[in-house]
Amino acid sequence: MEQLLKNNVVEKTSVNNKIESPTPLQGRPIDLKGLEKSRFSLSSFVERHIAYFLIAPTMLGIAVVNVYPLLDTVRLSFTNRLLSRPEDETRFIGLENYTSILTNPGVWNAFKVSLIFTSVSVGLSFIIGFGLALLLNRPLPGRAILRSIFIIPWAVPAFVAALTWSWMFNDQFGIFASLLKDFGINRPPIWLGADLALFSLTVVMIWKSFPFQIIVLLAGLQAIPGDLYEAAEVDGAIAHQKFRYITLPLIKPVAMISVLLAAINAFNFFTIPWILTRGGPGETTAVLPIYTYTIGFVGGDFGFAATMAVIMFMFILLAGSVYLWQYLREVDATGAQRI
Amino acid sequence: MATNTSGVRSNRFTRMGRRQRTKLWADIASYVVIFFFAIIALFPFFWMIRTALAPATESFALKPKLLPSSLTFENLTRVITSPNVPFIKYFQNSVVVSVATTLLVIVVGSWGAYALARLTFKGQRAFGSSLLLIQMFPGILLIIPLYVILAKLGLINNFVGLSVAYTTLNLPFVVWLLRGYFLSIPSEIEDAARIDGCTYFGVLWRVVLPLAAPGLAAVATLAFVNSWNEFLIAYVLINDDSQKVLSIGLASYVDQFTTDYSGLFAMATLTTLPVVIVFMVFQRYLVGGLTTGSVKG
Repeated sequence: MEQLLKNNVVEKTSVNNKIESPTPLQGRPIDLKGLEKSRFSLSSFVERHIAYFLIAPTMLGIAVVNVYPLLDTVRLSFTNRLLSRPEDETRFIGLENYTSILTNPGVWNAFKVSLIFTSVSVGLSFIIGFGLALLLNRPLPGRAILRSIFIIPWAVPAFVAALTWSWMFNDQFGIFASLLKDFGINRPPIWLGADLALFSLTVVMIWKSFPFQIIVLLAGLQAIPGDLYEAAEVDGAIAHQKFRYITLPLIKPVAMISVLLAAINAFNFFTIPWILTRGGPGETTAVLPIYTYTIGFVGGDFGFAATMAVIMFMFILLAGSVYLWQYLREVDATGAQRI
Repeated sequence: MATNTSGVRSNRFTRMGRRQRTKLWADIASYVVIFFFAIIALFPFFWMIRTALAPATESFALKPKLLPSSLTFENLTRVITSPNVPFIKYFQNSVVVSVATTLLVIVVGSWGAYALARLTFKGQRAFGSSLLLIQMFPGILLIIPLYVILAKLGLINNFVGLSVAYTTLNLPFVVWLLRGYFLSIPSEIEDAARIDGCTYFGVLWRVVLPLAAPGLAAVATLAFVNSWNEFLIAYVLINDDSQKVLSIGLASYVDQFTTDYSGLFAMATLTTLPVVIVFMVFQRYLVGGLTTGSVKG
């Protein structure tokens, strides 16, 4: 970097010197080639391959933090590596981990819990977020303040949110229990007990994720040109027709992407389930990341945990690609603006 | 003819009246719904602060009241000055890691975004789409080998390892967002700077970044808040108490705090306020940055 800056300075001054010489445009043209050659430098080399220099740090980071771990996880998934077993005693065991996944009831349970958790939390946070985005898109006084209030659950760290909710869910000292007592319910439900834990976890996730939907969908709604609505009004369209034929088709691409991002996020989410329930009681809230983590870092079976992670990734990739393919088809069909 | 016109006019007037009335009712209904959900959105945040500011004895009331009997800063000062809880240390660690990550993200992310937005190079499409693909990686997939390799490199319990991991995890969306932002800047100014002999780095530093300041503010906010709030990677990579950041420091004190919820939530409040303030101050840019970044994509 030092070198680059220095070269930059050198180049600057040399160009300035040239300009000081009389009328370069009419007189002898500046010998740019010679100039470059005379100081074959890092600077000119960088300039010629600038794009690769610019993306190099990103690529390097991705190679170390994403690509290498991905490949290594795939390799680990074919081994019997344990946390406590040194690398050189680890053996290649073929597809053993994969076949034992198929017969492992814990894995199937984790899949089921994850799918319920993801689909319900994404579905409801989308519906709430879209509804509120529509309302906040109306020219209401004070909507800027209201919008910043809705950002708060997004900003609050997930681990703090999980701590606070578990405190509110507390069946002795919690505020929910207290409020229910006010309504004459003296035996409040055990929110984090076996029956309700998944429900409570999903509620927390909805609370944490609906602000993201509001912000993204509101941005999408505000990008819809106002004259479309005016034109529709001139043609005599009523409110629900404008919604049906303008708002919905134009918000659809944004909505599909925000749902995809939210679903990937929820499916991979670790912090809130871990702090709120650690997957319990029993395995009632053991979503896939929690189950995988428990196997790998609590049970110490890296090989099996790696296999779980690979299966998770392949599932996300498959579902994500089908979804994206559908998205691109729809967007092409409607001719709507791509984001 | 004349009667006809007046008929149309009066018709329109009554319709306007009805419209305005409907609009009024619609506004009232909107406010009711919005306030209902605003209360839900705020309530846990409020409850955290309320527990932190209520006298310590009240957190074990069998029937807690919505509002505490009195407000006190005793809990806050207790956790800050407590000899058992290195809260200040955690806070410093979080600031160091988050600020380092934010700076790295801005520099590296703007480079990548500039290459994607303005230059043509072999593998450009592959670069762009691999960034999108990486968004789908489960954190749990990366964590085991990351732990193994960083342990080999001696980067466990190390801020460098943590910052590099956070930076890279932020890069995909940052590059895409800034790419959209750069595309919204007219390229003529850059061309002029190039003709005047400015290097690409010079153009980026002196022309593009100043013009993209709101986009950078959005990106910096997200990167800062994401690193401040991250849990899983810190949980696995850091286990030395003096190196802990707030997220895991707080989580490790949960068991210890079963007798002191006021202290726990005093810490939680002090942890949360910086990010909430950052979000509030920069939310204007955040919304603007997200809009420009996505619309121009």
